[in-house]
Amino acid sequence: MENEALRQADGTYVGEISDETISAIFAGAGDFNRRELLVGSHTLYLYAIDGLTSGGDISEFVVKPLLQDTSALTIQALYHRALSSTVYNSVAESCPDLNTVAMKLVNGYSVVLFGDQAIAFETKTGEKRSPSAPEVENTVKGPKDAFTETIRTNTSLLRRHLRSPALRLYETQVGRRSLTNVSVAYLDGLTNPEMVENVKRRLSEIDIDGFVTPSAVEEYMTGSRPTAFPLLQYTERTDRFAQALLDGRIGLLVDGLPLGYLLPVDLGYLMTSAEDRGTDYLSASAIRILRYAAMLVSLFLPALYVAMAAFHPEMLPTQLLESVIESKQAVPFPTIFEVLGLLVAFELLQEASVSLPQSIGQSLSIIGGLVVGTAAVDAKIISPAALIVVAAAGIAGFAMPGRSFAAALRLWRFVLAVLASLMGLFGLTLGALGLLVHLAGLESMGVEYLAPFSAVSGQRAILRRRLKDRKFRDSNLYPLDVQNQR
Amino acid sequence: MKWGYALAAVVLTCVFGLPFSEYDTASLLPIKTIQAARTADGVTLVSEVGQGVGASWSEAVADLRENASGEVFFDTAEQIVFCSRSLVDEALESGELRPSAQVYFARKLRRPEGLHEYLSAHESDLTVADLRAQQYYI
Repeated sequence: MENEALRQADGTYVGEISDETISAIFAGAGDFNRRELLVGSHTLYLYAIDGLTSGGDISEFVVKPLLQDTSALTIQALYHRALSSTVYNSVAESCPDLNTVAMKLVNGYSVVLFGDQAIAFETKTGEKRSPSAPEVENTVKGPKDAFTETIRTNTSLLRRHLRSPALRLYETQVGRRSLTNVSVAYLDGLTNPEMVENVKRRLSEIDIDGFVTPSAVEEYMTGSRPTAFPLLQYTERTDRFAQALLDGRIGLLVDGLPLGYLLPVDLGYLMTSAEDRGTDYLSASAIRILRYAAMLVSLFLPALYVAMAAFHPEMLPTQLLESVIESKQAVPFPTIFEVLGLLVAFELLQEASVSLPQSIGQSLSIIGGLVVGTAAVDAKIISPAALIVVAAAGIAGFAMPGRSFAAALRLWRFVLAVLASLMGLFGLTLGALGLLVHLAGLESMGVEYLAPFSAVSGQRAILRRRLKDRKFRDSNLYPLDVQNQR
Repeated sequence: MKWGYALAAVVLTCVFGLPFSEYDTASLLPIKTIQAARTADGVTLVSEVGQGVGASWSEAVADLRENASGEVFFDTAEQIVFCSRSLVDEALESGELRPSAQVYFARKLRRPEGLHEYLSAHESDLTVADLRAQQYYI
């Protein structure tokens, strides 16, 4: 029997439960194990996938008790006794159809076939990566348990941070062929139920082959809007994820991805860092102001430099203009090409360092940034002023808390620089207005992207209020329980 | 629709041009201090970047631009020294001087070297904007 004959268009398997059909589903899979068990006069079949299951657990808790039960007269009796008494395994589930058998096997269960009936025993292997310290969102004082690639480990980490019975974990599978386990986390009685239903509906509407990459999650969950700005926030920190749920947001955990997604999201959330909750409110507010300044520098500085130097030099203080002129004296390229070229070179360096191992990436940064940069200035190919501007914008971009948001800024920085190089400050203003209009038009799960800057809740975006004064949850999330403390 | 407006703005700009021009930054010659006097040759302008002579202010400016080794940039002029009061009106009408430029009056032309530093140490209360206001007031 061919595997394809059993598989439907929606990825499910249809057919009768038998040794032939189960073997056909996994035909050609080298890690698929099948074993015949003779129990008295009856023949049982045991199936498991090597690597997902623990051989020792199967032998000890499934095979051994089954083989010892030789007193059953019929295979039906054997089945019922295995389900309720003989087998020690804590989780034993009856499989009503062939598809369930297949799903259980790929999720770390071992399946025993009793004639035309099957039982799935949970015998998942303990081989998985232990939680380690966050690599990107590392903080000085915060906890050091970051999400791993295993969804069950992640839910257990979440449970340890949120020991509330109200924590709900709605689980489903997405992806016709990847059959990725996805978990929607929220707090019952707090999170807006309409928002939760909306997330569940979106998940159910996703009909793709694989749901294994971050871009698949982000694009399909947000409707793939034509924007570079992230409409989902991701975090590798479990404490941050838990705090977001307490704020009334919804979490999304995807098996295989060592991070948790949070939604809805707005610009205010994207500009907050994990460190904000690790320091006092005054320091955190000061750092946030600095972060916003860095955002503006990263976005506008190269464009502003191009506009000022090439179109409006009268706007520069005379001494600064003299410095710029002096630095450009022997440079053969116009300011526009110089800045755009440097921006491209900067992006290339970043892209190259991402693709390389960390040790080589560091060498690349030194060679590319320091050696080539200095040599280019010495050789009068680029002016020091342009190099400083692009480097300052790049460094300011690294101060952004999220990489997705920083990537969007990088893209818009380029757009603004091109507009400024074409039309000076007029182009820059046009681009800035376009960006503002674009951001104002974005929304995530019904929450406007610029909502934190509205008159009602503008303070939330920039300053970190003292916790004792934050008596109410974000009203933009429409939580059921508005007050978070007395 | 919103992108339609943006596109329309770009197209209009491309058709009608920008109200300002692009400079070759490297060749700019920013003027800090400019002296203007009426001499036997007409109007004489003296600055750090060169000298210009002509029958009128505009001709002297054109001569200054022509003789300079780069693109003379008037917008950075911080100080203007008039050696003839009759040149004030002409200079103001030309629109080449920035409103915040400080105005000085002197009897004769001086050597431009070190003049900017000297005048910076002795700031004038009178600016081009003040003169323009007086002109309108009168």
